[in-house]
Amino acid sequence: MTTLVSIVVVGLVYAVQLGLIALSFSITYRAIGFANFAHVQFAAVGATVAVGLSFVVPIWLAVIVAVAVSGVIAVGSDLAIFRRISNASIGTKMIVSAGLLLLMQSAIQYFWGVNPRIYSSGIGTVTIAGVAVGYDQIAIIAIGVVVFAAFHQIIRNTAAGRLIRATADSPELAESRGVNSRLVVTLVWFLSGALAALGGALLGIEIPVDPLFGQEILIPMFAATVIGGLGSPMGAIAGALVLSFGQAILLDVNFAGFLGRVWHVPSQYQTVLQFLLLILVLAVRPWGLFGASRERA
Amino acid sequence: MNEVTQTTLIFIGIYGLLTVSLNLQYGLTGLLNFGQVVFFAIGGYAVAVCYAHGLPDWAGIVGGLAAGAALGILMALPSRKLAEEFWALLSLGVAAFFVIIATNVSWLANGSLGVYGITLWPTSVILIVLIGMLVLLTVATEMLRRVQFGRVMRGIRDDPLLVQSLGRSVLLFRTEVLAASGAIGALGGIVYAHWITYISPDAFGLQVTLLIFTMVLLGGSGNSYGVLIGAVLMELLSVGLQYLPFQALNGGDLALLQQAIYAITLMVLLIFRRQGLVPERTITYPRVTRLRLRRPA
Repeated sequence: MTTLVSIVVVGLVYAVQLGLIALSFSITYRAIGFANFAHVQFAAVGATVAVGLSFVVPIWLAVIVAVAVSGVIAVGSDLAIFRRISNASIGTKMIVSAGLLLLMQSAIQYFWGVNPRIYSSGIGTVTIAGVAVGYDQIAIIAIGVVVFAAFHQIIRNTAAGRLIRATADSPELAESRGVNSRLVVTLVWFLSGALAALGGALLGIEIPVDPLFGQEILIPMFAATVIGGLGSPMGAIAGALVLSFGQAILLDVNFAGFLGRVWHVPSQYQTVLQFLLLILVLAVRPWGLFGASRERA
Repeated sequence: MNEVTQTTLIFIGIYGLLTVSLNLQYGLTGLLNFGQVVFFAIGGYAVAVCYAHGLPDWAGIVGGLAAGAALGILMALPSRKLAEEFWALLSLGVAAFFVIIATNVSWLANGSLGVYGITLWPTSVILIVLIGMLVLLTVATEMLRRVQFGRVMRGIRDDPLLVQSLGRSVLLFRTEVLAASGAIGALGGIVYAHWITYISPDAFGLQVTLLIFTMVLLGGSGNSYGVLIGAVLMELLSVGLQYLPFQALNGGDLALLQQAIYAITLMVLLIFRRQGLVPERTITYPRVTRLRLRRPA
C-alpha cells in the first residue's frame, strides 16, 4: 500500500511536469509541422527564471513571470527565425532549431553559471497511507489537472480553439475564410512557450537546475510525445503518463527478488529506461499510440 | 611546422572525416542523423576500452571500425518504418544513450572520469593517416556520386517512395551507407583517441553533432569537396577565436562563446544561404542510356 501510494504520487507529479512540456511540444509540431529541438529550452527558461526569482519573490509570482518570459521568447524565436525558413525542408528546420537549442543553452549558462541551484521550498508534508507527500507535490498534480482540463476545453469548445485547429489543418483554407493565420500561429507559439515554461518551472522546483536542464529533458520529451503519437496533444499527455508510471514501476521493482537479494535499476539509468520504453512502443506501433499511421518507403 | 599549425591540421583532418561521413548520410542519402557524434565516440571508446583492459592497440582499431559499422547497420533497421523526423529523434536518442552508458558504467572505461594515457601516435603518422584517408574518401565519394549507386542515393534523399517503386531496396542502400559512414566516423574517433590520449564522455555531446552539421551545410551539403571547405573554415574560425583579444574571458567563457558562434553561424547560414558556399552540382547526363531495372524481390 505504501509503495503503491508513493508510485502513484511520484508517477503523477512527473507525468504533469513532463506532460506539460510534451503537450506544448506537440502543439507546435502540429501547427508548424516540424519537431522543434529548441522547445526544451523554453522549459529550461521556465525553470531557471522561476528558481532564480524564487530567492527574491514568492514562488507563485516567480512561476508566472517565468511563463510570460518564455512565451515571449517563443514568439520571438518564431518571428526572428522560424518564419524566415517556412519554405525550407523539415531537415533544415530541425537543424536550425537544434542550433537555437545550443545558442539558448549558451545564454542560460552565461547568466546562470555552471553550478546547479535548488529551490528550497520549506513547504510541509501531509501523510497519506504512511507516505509523506509534500504540499508542493499536491499543488503540482492539481495545477496539472486544471491546466490539462482547461486546455482540452479551450481547444475543443471555444472559438479560439477552432481557429487554432483550423489553421493547423490548413493555413490556406483558414486564410480564405478571413482568419489571420499569422496571428494564430503567433498565439500558438506563445501558448506553447508558456506551457513548456510551466512544466519546466514545476520540474525545476523539484530537482537541481543547471544549464544542461534543457538537454536532459530532450529524451523524456521526445519519448513521451512519440509514445503518444507526434502531433496529438492528448496523446502527449497519455505518453507522459505511460512513461512516468512505467518508469516509476520499473525503478521500484526488485529485479533480484527471485534470488533473495535486492537490486534496483539505479536512478541514473532513468533516461535509459525511457529510451527503451520508446523503442519498445515504436517497434510495435511506429506512429505512436494515438498518432496517425504514416508509412515510409 | 609549429605546434598550432599541426594541431589545426589534425583537427581539420578529424572533423573532415566526420564531415565526409555525415555528407554521405545527410548530403547524399538524406538521412538526418542527429546522433552523428556516436560514431566518433564509438571509435574513441573502442581504443580507450582496449587500453584500459590491457588489450593490444590493433584490437581497439579493428574493434572500433567494426563497432561503428555495426551500429550504423543497427540504426538503419528502424528507418524502414519510421517517418523522417522520428528516425532523426531516434538517432539523437542513440547518441544520448551512449553517453549515459559511458558515464555510468565505470568498469567499461572509468565512467565519467575517462581514460588517460592512451598511446600517443607520432604527429607524422597521424597526419599521413588523416590526409591519406581524406583524399581517398573524397575521391571515392565523388566517384560514387557519379555512378548508379550515387544516383540511387540521391533518389532516396529526394523521393524514397519513387526509388522503392523502381525496385531498389531503400533499406539496403541506407544500411550500406550507414555502415560505411559509421566506420568512417569511428576512424575519426580512433585517430582522436591516439592524438588527445584522453577519452571521456564530455567530449561527445550534441554540440559536436551540430558542429559537423554546420561544416557540411556551410561547405555545401552534397558537394564532396565543398563539405571539406566547410570543415576547414569552421576549424580556422575556432582557432582564430583563441587569438582574438578576449582578456576578460577564461577558458569556460571562451568555450561558451565558441558554442554560441557555431550555433549562430548555423542559423544565419540556413536562413540566408541554404545551399552553402559551394552548392551541390547537378550532374547532367549526355543521353539516356538503357534503363536497368531490377525485379523486386
